[in-house]
Amino acid sequence: MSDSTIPPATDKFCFSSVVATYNNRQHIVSEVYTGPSAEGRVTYTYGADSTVGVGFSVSGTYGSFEQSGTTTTSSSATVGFPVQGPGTVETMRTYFGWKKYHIQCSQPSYSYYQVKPYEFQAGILQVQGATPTANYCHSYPEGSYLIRSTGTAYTFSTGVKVSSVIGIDLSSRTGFASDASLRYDMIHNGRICGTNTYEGSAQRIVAKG
Amino acid sequence: MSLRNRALWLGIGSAAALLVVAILMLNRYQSGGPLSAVTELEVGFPLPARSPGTWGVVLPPNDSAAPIAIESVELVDVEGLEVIDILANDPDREGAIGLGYGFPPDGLETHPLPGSVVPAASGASRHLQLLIGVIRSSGSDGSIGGIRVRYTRAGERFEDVLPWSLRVFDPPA
Repeated sequence: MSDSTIPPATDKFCFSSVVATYNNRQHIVSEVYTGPSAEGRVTYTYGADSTVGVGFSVSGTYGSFEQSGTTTTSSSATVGFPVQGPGTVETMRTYFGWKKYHIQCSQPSYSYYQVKPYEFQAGILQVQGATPTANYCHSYPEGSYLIRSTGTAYTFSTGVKVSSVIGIDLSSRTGFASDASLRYDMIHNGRICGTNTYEGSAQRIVAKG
Repeated sequence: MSLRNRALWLGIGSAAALLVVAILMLNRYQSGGPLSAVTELEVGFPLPARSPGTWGVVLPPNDSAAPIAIESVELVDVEGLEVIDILANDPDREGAIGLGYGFPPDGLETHPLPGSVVPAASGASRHLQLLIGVIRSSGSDGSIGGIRVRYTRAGERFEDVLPWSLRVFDPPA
């Protein structure tokens, strides 16, 4: 896990201690909207990166955390989500372990708490989502396919589900990071539509009839 | 040749060399311009051998205040395909297509590629679609590995290869 958070937890006048461990926290890694004409599949392969928010609090109590900075998480195994049939409106999630750290510094003296991921714990979970508005459409014939990987990431503002332990969910920017991909196979003539532009550059894409 | 003349010629030679370097720098293409793409995309569809098909590609939107003039479009790593032509249009007003049979595609207004412009962000449309006509050679899959675009914006010249690829294959029996 690489860390780009603001507080200098590794400063020579600071030391950190783990005060709590939260295993099996859900991270949204992608989303699939197949419509009536497509099948979809997400692959989140070994080494795929996601950028997630880091929780920050002075008191460390439930409800006192806010998001401050981000850190990068990497999968250490491939997560193969099953093929999704027509009519799927789902967010695809996997699990990471998180820890709460107490950072204590001297010269000057201050302390704070951080919550951030420490390991990939794999697993698959699908949760029903809501289809985004996507009006930049391209037609695709039956038998065609589209695979998108890397690139324009979309930030789920509450994509890391940790509110039960710190009071807020944190962001996750998964999109199609380095080794993750989304594939749509057209089983009938249909369209693939982007939310902010066409499918090659869009933040999010949706299959439609 | 006197020392003075030698110094004069040396000065003229240096100035000429600097001028050549400056001209080369002005004409050189930069990468990572406003039409560069970070998302890798592969599309594919079944296309009978010797039949024409269309691959519609919308260039990344122009989010700047200046229009982008397309200088050239070159298809990279073309195998098992004959490229018929590359046309252009405004997908928002003249019709959009991802993949389709026939070329030029039915129902779309199209224009020759030379002189095409990606409009500035302030315009009604900020998109330019390339319509790439292909014929698959018999007996093999066909593919295009990427799209190299050279373009100019506000006097700056750019060259980017879009990591967008096409595969065409035999329809199922």
